[in-house]
Amino acid sequence: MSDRIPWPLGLVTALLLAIIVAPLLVPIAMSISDTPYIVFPPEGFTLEWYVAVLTEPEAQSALLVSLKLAVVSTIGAMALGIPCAMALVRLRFPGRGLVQALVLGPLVVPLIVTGVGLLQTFSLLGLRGAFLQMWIGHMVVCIPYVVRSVSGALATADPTQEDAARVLGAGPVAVFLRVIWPQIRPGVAAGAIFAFIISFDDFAISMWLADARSFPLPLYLYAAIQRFFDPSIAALSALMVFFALGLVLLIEKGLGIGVRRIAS
Amino acid sequence: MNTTRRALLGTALATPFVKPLAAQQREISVGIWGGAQGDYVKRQIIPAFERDFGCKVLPEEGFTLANVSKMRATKDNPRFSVMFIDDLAIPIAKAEGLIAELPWDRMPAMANLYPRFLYEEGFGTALGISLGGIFHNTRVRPPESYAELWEPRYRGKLKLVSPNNTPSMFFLIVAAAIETGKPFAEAQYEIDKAFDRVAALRPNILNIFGDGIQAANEIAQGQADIGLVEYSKYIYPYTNRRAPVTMAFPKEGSFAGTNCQVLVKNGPHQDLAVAFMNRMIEPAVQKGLSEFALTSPPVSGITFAPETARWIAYPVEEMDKRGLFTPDWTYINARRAGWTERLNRIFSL
Repeated sequence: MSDRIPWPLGLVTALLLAIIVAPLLVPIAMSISDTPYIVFPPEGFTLEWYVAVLTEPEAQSALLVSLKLAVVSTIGAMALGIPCAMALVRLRFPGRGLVQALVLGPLVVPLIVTGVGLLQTFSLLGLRGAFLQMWIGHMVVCIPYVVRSVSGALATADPTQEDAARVLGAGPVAVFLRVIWPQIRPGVAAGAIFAFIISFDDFAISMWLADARSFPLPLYLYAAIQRFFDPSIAALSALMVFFALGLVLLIEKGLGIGVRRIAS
Repeated sequence: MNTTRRALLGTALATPFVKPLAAQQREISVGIWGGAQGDYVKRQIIPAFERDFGCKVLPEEGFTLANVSKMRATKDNPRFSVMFIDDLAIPIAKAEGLIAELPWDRMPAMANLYPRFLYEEGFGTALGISLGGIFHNTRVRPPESYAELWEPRYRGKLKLVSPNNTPSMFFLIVAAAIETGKPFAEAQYEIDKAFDRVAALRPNILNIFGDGIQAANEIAQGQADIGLVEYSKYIYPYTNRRAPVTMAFPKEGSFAGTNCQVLVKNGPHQDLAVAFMNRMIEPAVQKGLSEFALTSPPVSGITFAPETARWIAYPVEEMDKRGLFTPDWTYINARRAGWTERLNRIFSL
C-alpha cells in the first residue's frame, strides 16, 4: 500500500483549495494598493490602510466587543452545552427527542428570524443592556454546535469504562475528569472553536440586538463598507483572515490540539 | 499571580455587563443610517448635541426596513427615541402606530422646513434629499435616454440594483415609462404592464448589486459600464474624491431619494428626542451635513459654495427644474412585495 495520493484526487483537492483560498487572497492583495479606491490587481504598494484601520478607535472598540462577546459566549455555551450533551447521550428520559430538537433548533431556523424573535422577547421582558442580550443570543446559536460535537465524542466513548471506574470507587467528579474528559476532549475543543467562531463572525443576531456601546466587528465591517471607498475595508478583511489563521495556529501549536484531529 | 490573572480576566469579562457611570445621565437611542451621512451625524452632530443638552445619544447604524422592523419588535417597550427612515416607510410606520406626531411648538426649526418635506401631516420631516439616477465609469458616455439601456451595445455591461432595495422601484417606473411612453408620474400606475420590458433587459445585466458603494467601486474599476438605479449620496462623495465614477440623469427625469426622521411613539425621553430632531433640521446643521454627504437640505435659507452646489439640487426651485420625482409610495408600498417577487423571478438564475 502506498501513501501517495492518486493524482486525480490531488488535482481535485488542489482545485477545491484554490476555490476556497483565492477569495481570501483577493482582499489581501487589494489592501496594499496605493490608490484612493479599491482596485484589483493592486497598483503600487502601501501599508497605510492597515495603519488607518488599526488606529481607528471605532474599529478597535468593535474588535474588543467581538472578542469579549466570543469569549463569554463560548464559556456560556460550554457550561450549558456539555451537561446537555451528556444528558442527551447517557440518559433516557421522557421528551428526550423534544429536548434534542429544541436545543438544535437554532441550526434550522434562519438566524435573522431568531434575532428578531430575541429582540421582541427582550423588549417584552424589559431586559436592557445590548451586551447581555447579545451574550444570550450568541449562546442560543452556539450551544447546538457544542452539543453536537460533544455528543459525537460521547457516543464513541465506551460507557463500560465509566462503570468500571465507579465500581473501583471513583466518585462522579473523578469519573468525569479521569475517564470521560480525556475521551471527549477533542469534541469539546471542536465545540469551543465552533462556538467562538460562530459568535465572533455573527451578524444576523447582533444586527437586532447591538447598540452604539456594544457594536461588534461584523456590524462595524458592514457599516465601514458603506463608509469607506478606499482599500482600508480590504485591510480590515485581511486582518480578519490573519486573525482566523492565527487562531488555528494558536490551537495547533499553543494548546497542542490538532485541528486535523478535530476535523476528523 | 494566578489570583491576579483571574481577577483581571474576571474584570475584563464583567466590564461589558456593568453599566458605565456615564449611562447615569439621560440618554436616547437614535437609529441612523450608515455611509457618509451616518458618519457626519456620529462625529459632528451628536457630540455637539450631547454637550449642549448634557445627555448621551446612542446612534445605531441601520437601514430603513431594518429600522422599521426594530420599531415593530420593540413597540410595547420602545428602545429608540428617534428613527431615521426613508419617506416611503413613514405611511407604514404611522399606520402601525409606531411613530408619534411632531410637536410643532417645541420645534422652532420647522419654520424653515419646505412644506413638501413634512410627511403624513406632521409625522416626519426630511433630512436630506439625494438624486436617483444611473451611475457610470467616467470613460463611458452615458445614455441620453433610459431607453438606450435596452440596446445590444450594452450586453453584459450593466449592473442592476437588487429587487430588495428601494431604487428597484425607480427602475420599474423607468421600465413602465419606456413601455407606455408616459412620464414617471403617470407610468408609476402602469408598472404591471412593464414586466416584459423588464425581462428584455436581462441579457444586458452583468449582475445584481445590493450595496451601492460597492457597486460604485466596481464601476470605477471598469468591471461594468453603468449601474442603475442608485442615489447620488452613495456616488458623489467618491466622484468628489476623483474616483472615476459619476452620475447621469437621462432625459426622462430623476428621482428624489428622501431620508427622513420620525419620533418613536412612547420612546424614552421624548423631550430630548424632539430637541434632537429640531437640531437635525437647523440650517447650520443641515449645511454641514449637506456639504459632507452631498445631499440637498429640506430647509430654506442656506447658501452653498459652488464646490458643493454643483453636486446637489437646491433650493427647492432647482429641484423642480431638474424634475425630481417622488413616487406615490402609498400606491407602491401596497404592491411592492408582489413586484419584488416578479423581479426576483426574472433575474434569478
